[in-house]
Amino acid sequence: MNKKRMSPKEKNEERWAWLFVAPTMIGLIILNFYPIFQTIYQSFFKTGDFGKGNIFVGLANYQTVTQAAETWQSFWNTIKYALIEVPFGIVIALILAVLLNKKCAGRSVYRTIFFLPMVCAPAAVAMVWKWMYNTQFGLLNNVFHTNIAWISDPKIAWIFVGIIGVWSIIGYNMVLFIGGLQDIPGDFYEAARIDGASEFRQFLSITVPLLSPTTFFIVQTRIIGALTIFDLMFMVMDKTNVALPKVQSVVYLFYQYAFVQNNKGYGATLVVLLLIFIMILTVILQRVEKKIVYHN
Amino acid sequence: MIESAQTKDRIRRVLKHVFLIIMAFIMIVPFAWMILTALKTNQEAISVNPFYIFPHNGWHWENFGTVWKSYNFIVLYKNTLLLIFFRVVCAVLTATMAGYAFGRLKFRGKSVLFALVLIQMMVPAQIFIIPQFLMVSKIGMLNTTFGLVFPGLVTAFGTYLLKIGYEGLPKELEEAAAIDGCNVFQRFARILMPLTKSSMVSLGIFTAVFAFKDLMWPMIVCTNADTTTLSAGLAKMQGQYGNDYPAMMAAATLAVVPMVVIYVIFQKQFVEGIATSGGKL
Amino acid sequence: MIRSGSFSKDQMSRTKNTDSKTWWTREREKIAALDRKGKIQYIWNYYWLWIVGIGFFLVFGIWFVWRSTTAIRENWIGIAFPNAMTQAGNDSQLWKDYLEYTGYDTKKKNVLFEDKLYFDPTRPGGTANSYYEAFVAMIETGQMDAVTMRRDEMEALGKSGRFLDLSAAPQVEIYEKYQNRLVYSIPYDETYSRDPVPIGIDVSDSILLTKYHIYENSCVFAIGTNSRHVDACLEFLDWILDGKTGAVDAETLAAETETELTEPMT
Repeated sequence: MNKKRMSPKEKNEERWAWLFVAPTMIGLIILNFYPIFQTIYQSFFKTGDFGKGNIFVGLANYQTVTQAAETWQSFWNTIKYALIEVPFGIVIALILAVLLNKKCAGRSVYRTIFFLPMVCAPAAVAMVWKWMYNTQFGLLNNVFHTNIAWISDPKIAWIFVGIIGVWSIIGYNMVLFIGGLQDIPGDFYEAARIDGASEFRQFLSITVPLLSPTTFFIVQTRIIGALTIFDLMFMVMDKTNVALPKVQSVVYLFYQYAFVQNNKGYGATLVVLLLIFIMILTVILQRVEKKIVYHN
Repeated sequence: MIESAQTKDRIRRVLKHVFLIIMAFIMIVPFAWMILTALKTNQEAISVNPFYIFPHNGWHWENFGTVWKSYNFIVLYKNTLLLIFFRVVCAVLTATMAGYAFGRLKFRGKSVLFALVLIQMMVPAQIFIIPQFLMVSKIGMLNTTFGLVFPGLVTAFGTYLLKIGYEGLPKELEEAAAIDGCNVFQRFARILMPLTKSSMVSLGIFTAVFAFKDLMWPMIVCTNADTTTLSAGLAKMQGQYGNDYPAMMAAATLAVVPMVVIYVIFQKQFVEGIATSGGKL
Repeated sequence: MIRSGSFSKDQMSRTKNTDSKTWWTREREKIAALDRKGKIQYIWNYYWLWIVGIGFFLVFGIWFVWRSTTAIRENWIGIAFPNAMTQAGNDSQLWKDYLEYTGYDTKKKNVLFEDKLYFDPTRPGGTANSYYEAFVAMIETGQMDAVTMRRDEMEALGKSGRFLDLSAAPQVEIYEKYQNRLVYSIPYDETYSRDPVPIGIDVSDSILLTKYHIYENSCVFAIGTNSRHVDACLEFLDWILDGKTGAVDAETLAAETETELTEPMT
């Protein structure tokens, strides 16, 4: 196995490394990978209802699921959602984090305010968005004297659902960005200031490169997060909303199959397809990372 | 010349605050809504008039008292704080160790193991519920804090976050330590770990928020009223108060208080933990 | 700022030693040279984290073994009451009366009544919440044996095939006994049946509605396919339909309302 013999020092390092990753890896394998393998296994079976056993069907589930228009519609919906949530959520959070990283009046108050939506009761969040978006009694239509069906028009609903997504993710992204900004040594800025660099210049030449690992991390995790979005769309959707098929995400469709219809075979198949899709994206992203992210 | 620079600076500062205030307003609306609804009568709360924002018939502070009396908030706070404490400790501990190994050490199987960490984040969390519940119930840990903490013993997200944190530290740090004769563990514990404080705080905040918000897991693991958490304990409210929004919002507000206190403490750490030097130690 | 920067020379020289044996003898020598108070202080100063950590794991390990050997794993029965209008969970009046009726010893096995579940299977998106996820986990693992729900909701819920098909062979006794109370659902799974399948038993006239007011208008009882206590479910069914404790006299009613008023909900 060993291509080249390792020095005792390297061997020692490797032993420590395995010791350090052991708790996490053992935990992940028991808690998460056992269920993941179960899911993959399940995707080759037809689920037995009413107490009947599962039947092996080979790739039949894959055939059915990939042929369903619903599947591709849900993939498209999810991608559209991600296209709104990921860039806007990250850019706004970055601006806020940069503004709040420097000493300014009321910094702690602002930071606390931006944290509040994260712990706010979901029922209150849903109420507020309904209050805004309602076609007849909503704030937006009443203020602007318009008559737009914000979230029940199948053509535009995805945009406004995406806006809710942006709103709810800003706080999280900001916490991560502030963490990343804290790690940039202050004396870099000091040196730049002595050299007479403007604030914008400092942002471009110090903040952007030094923050790029954090930014990449947020981009990577948010892409995964947005593609596995689940219940956000239903927070504000009513019983009769006709836009539903145009906003339902892949994970919601999975949920519909596995949890509502008890068709675990289809559900598992969809999870496997989603996993493959995100994995391909991740591999591409990791390639890009090596080129553009700054490493010291 | 200098004066114009000063006015420019002042304008910039004002613009910055205008932007921050607008954003703060947008972010705080639901929270304010929650508190305002808690102070209304139910009739006001379900009014369809979009401009009906503040309570009209007096501010009903007694809603908080009523809700406080109808739940055992002390027990719920205690259980929730225990859950948050252990989840944060477990997450930060395991993620710090694994993040250090992934970020700084060389070992065989690294890329494969790290791929597993990423894959964990790519699947919907719903597929874990039933197997994890069966595990907890088989080892007899239903209705315990350990049962509540169980899915959060390790964290893929945190491992990734800490890996980034460790990768960002300058190489010279370790080389200097190695010359001084520190072994791998000492380099980790004494030199590098204290420098990733801000990543650990971020992870702590995330873990705490998710533990606080998690509703489904406490509901199936802790069926006992004495062992359940705020989110699951207050879930009963929906049946008890039906559509009594003021009561629901009052309870939700009371539930959030400890979280905000924790955050204020944490974020102080954040502000103080500013790194000063990189290369020179 | 950097804590590690404040290393004392003494600490550095101490950490230099990687060989465990010399480390051990050196430490022993050092400790032996100190007086009693100094010994404790030295050990605590340098090893407090290890002491606390090992102590915690020891306590945790003992507790873990104790708990996993003494925990009650078995249930007498578990019943879910989604969308209950009044209290129907553990420690509710319904739960207490049922225990009194059956005489189940909750120190040996659990009797689980779950009423914190709110979802609407009749509409799309109405099940996209944590309550429903929890419900599915409970019914699929057999933690909950049976469900009661409003009729239209149960008809929608029954499509999933998570409940016993009462027309299938093993359930023929139930089918015959409750022939005029059956509630049907058309399964999502067309390969199972295109016709309605009997999955529930209408209990709209039971004490669940008349005495405890857990539901209004209608109620259907259904047994999960993974239930391990079908007999207990049938016993529960008998109890709510016969209403053996359903005869309410003025005294118990008065006592009930009193407890409702004084007892804080937990």
